[in-house]
Formats: sequence, C-alpha cells, structure tokens
Amino acid sequence: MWEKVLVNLMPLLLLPFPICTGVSPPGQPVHLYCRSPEKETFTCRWEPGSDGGLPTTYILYYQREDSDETFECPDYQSAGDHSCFFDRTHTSIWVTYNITIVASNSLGRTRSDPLEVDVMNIVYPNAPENLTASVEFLPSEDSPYLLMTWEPPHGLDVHSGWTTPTYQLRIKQEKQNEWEEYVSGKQTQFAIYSLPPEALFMVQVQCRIDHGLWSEWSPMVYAEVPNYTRSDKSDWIVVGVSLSFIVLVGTCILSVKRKYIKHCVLPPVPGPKIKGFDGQLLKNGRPEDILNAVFQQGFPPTVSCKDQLEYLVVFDSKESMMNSPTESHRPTSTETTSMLDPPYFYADLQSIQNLSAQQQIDASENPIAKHINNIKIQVNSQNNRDEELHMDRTAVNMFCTSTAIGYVDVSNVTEEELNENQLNYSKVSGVDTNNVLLLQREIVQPKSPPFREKGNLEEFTSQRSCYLDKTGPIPGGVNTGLKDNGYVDTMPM
Amino acid sequence: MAQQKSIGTRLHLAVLCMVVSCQAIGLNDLLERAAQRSDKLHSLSTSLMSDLDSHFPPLGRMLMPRPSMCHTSSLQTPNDKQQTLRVTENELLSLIRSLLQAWSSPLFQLSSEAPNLPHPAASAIHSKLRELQDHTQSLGDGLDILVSKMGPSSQLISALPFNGGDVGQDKTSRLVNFNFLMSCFRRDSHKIDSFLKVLRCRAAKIRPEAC
Repeated sequence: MWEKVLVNLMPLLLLPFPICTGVSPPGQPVHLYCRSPEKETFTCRWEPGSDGGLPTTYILYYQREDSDETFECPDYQSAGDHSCFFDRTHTSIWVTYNITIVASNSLGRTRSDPLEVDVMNIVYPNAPENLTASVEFLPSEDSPYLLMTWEPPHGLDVHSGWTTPTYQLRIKQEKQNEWEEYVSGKQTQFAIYSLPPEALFMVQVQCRIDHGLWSEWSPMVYAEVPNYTRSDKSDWIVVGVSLSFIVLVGTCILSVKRKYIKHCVLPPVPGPKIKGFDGQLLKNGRPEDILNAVFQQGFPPTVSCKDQLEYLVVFDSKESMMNSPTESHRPTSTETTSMLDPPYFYADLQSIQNLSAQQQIDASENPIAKHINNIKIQVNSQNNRDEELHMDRTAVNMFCTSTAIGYVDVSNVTEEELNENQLNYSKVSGVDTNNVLLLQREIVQPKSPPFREKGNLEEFTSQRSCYLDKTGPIPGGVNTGLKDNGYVDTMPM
Repeated sequence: MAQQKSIGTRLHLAVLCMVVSCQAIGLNDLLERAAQRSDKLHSLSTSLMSDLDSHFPPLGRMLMPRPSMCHTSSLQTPNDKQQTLRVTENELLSLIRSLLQAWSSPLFQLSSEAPNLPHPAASAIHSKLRELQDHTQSLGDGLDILVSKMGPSSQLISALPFNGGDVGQDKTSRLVNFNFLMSCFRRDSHKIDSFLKVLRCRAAKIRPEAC
C-alpha cells in the first residue's frame, strides 16, 4: 500500500516547479533608460523582475556596432543598484550599443529584451546650477530690473566646445497662475525690465545640449521687488512734446500749401460753357432772345452724309469687276466716276488711275478719298503678280491719305473664289507718319461692322498716310517698287 | 642701437598681431556662422525624424538596416571627445566637407520621394526636406569660402558614393528605407554640428566669450 502511495506521489515530487518552497527562475528584467549627461559617459538602469525567491545576479552584456564581440558592463557600482556606468574609455558616440541584461539564479536565467542605444540620442544634462535672481536698479533711473544669472551644470565641457548648452527660463509672480517662458540661448544671464512694484518673483532655469532632451528645472529662486513710485511723468512729457511738434509742423505745411489743399479738397466746379449762352440773358432776357442766342449756329449740327461712301471696291480689271458676284449691287454702267450708289461703289484700278490723273491729285489731297470710309481691293490672283502688287499699292496709296479711311481690305481672289462669298479682310494694324499703312498678317473674317477698330492695333494717331506691309497677304514678294525706307512707290517704274 | 632694434621688433610684432588678429576675426565670424547653420541643420533633421517616427510601423523597426550600412559609415571619424580634440582643424574641415558632399544627391532623392511617401505628414516632411537641402547647400558654400582662407590640406574631400538606394515597392519598405536614410543623415548632421562647434571654440582664443 505504501508503495502505491509512493508511486502516485512520485510524479508530483519530480515535477520541475516547486509547489511548496516558492522558488523560481528570475523574472525578466526591464530596461528603464540610458542617459548621458555630458556626451562623454553614460549610465543605463533597469528594473529587475521577480528574483524567484533566490539570490539573483544581473549581468549586462553589450555589443557595439563596429565589432562582433560581446562585452560585459565595466562598472556596476558607481551609479547605484541595478545600473551600469560606462566611463570615458568605454563610451563612444555615434556608435550603436546593443544592450541586454541577463538575470540568473540557481534555477535558471532570463534575458531582457535588447535595447539599442546611441549616445547621441540619450544626452540628458543636469539642471543648471547656482541660479541667482536679484532686483537691481539702473544707475540713471529709479525703475528696477530683475537680473538672473546661473552656471552650466558641473561636468559639462563648454570651453572646448564639445557641449554647447542652451538655456530656457520660466518666471512667475506669486499671484499669477501661469509661467512666462523666456529663451536665453547660450547666455548664462537674463534681465527683465519694467517690474511692477511690490511683487514676488519665482524663477527657474533649464538647459539642453544639441537639440536633445531638456534637463530638469533648477530649484526655485525668489526675488522681491520693493515698493517704488513709477516716474511716468517723463513718459508723458516726451509724448506731449512730440505731439505738439507734429501739430506745429502740420500747421506750417497746411498754411504754406493752402491753395493746393483747397484745390484738392474743394475742386472748382466748371461753369457752364454753351457757346453764345449768356447767363445774364437767361435771368433777364426774353425767351425769343435766348433761343436766338443759343440756336444761332444752326443747332442741331447736321453733317452731310450723302457724300460718304461705305466701301470703295477696286478691281484690277473691268472684267473681274463684272464677274464679281460678291456684292448684290452689280455695276451697271461703265461710268466709274459715279459716286451715287452707297454703300458700295465699284471701280477698277485703271479708272481710278485715270481719275487721279485727270484731277491731278496730290497724294495729300484726295477729294475722292475724303468721301470713302473703307477700301476693298479685289485682286485677281491669276494675273501677273507684279501688276497686282502695283495695283494694290497704287489704289491703297491714293486713298490712304484720307483720315476717314479705317478699313483697307485687300482680297486675293481667284476665278473660283470669285464665285464664293469669301470675304478676306486685312486689318489695319498701324499707321506710320508718311504714306504708309500697316496691315496685319492674318486674314480675319469680319465679325463686326467695319468700323475703325483699335483693339490690339496700334494707336491711330496720325491717319495721314499708310504703307503696305510687305509680309501681308498681298500676293507677290518684295518688288522693285519698294524704296529703301520701306515706303511704297506710287507708280511702278 | 639696441633700443632702436627693440622698437623695430615691437613694431613688427604689433603689425603681425594685427594682421593675425584681423584674419582670426574673419575666420571666427565664418566659423560662427557655419556653426549656427549646422545647428539649424541638425535641429531640422531632428524634427524631421520625430515627424517620421510618429507614424512608423512597429514591424519597420525590425526591418531597419543596421546603422553601419549608412553610405557614410566608411569614413573614419573620431568617436569621442578625446579623439575629436586631437584632430587638426584641416582634417576636421575635410571630414565635415566630405560628409556634406556625400549627402547632396541622397537628399535630392529623398526630396523627390517625399511627396509620395505613405505618411500622414508627407507635405510637412517634404517642405522640411527642401529647407534641409537649402541649408546643406549654403553650409557647403560657406565652408568652401572658409577653406579657401586656410591651407590646401584642408581642401581634401573623400568621396563617399551613394549607390542610389533600392527603394522597394511596397508601402512599408519605402517608409523603412526613408526612415533609415534620414537616421543616417541625422547622425551625420550631429557629427558636422559637433565638429564645427569644436572648431569655433578652438578659433576663439582671442574672443573667449564666443564659447
């Protein structure tokens, strides 16, 4: 029977984990942090797991990025319990350390998770030291200012430039709820002016290195501002003097420039200027007299429009003129001097030339042209090119002296095109001073009534003359008719 | 006679001192500006890294290449204060300029990838990268002027080729690669900043308040 009990109990006795004694392998240690206060040494701390009831030892192993060896912590004591201190000879910056902690007791070992550390990322300085805050008085004035000075934390090597701490302050009056923060840069002192009287100030300072972690705040320091009277008088005197000076200067300027200012502010209203209109007459005179005075000049003005022609269409020959189907008004007679068929009048070039010769027209005075608003030149492109060119230029030249002409149309028409209702217009793109009219290159379909267009054309300052652009849609190239200065010869030689 | 000689030597010394101090002040100013620029550069790279880390997949940390895989890790640089203080100015400047040079094309590549980065703060990252490029460029230019005032031995630059970096296709690997390159850059910007600050203090013998 006892054997049976023993057999039953044997598995229990052989079980690996204890039931009654309460010992176990150690729990996993956990990394807390690694910190370097001055970029030359660093310390790592960990939190031990449970020790399993047995004496447990902790060993820190590390590997460096630049080697395959595994090292052990050089110093477990200097930084206290559960810590490892790496001194100068064991610390390298810009090198990654892979740190693992192994807890072991008689029952087993447990590894922590690995921690990767680069000293560059764990720079955490101590707080600045010896902070002092005192209320000082400027020698010339009565108003006090708060002067704060401190020193970098001990151990930091500032003189060689290896560490460059930057500082930050926070200041509060005792009765305020919120801190005011000020950045001090690399300076180890800071001043605040315009203090309220009878106030108690509390000051703290912290630092950091190379945009790393901010240190803890230093211990609080207090400073009391005594009761003093603020001399605001001097401020008001300055304000008063400057204001009065400005007023004085302004008054002087105004008095000197009063006419100009009056002109700006109260512009003169133009009086009525009707010709022959007399204000006095209106007041005193009789209605008949007033009417006579006003309407003396034949009001309303009438302009004779009868002589104005909308279009003069010039053909290069009588035949093409006859064949032209474009306009509804067909010329019925060969009498080309008739000008009584507005709005279109047809002529061929020869007739025009004859007319000009007859009337001995000077280029500057063209009675025909005075009555013509637009010219449309229709060229039969099957003709000799030179002739066409001459004809265009001649016709245009003769009529271009008229100030009334706004539209010169040159159409290059073939036999086929004569049958089509294609209107090609060249827009006037500019006017030179002497006998030259600038035509635009593109052939534009007219969409609006053929009045003078300014649009994107050059300004029509002088309409006395015009010239043919040799790159325009005129058939034929450069001709001997062209003079050196770009002007067009009136008659082909 | 001896008095005249001593006056003459004193005059020479005074002139020499003036010339040296004039030149030293010129160098001081240049180093001060360079150190400020490198400080700004490191601050930008730090803030960029924290932006990136805010949304980094935990799996990515496992996939991250070792820092020894940075393309600049082949350059031998001092690793602690003692080593750094032993290096000459010319060599330090050469190291700084080599590092800066090595990052001009990788930064360009990063900057072109940044708008398409699968990250919520991609536009902020992109603008910071452009700022980073500008600062790198201007720091490089300033250092070129600086070394022209010093000896020819300071003008040596080691070439550290960047092989383009395989970006990868999927979201995670692109992010991981980006993060890895930025961490390499941050390490190098810290090196540049530390070295320049050491140089600044070393040159400030005449004006100790600079350090």
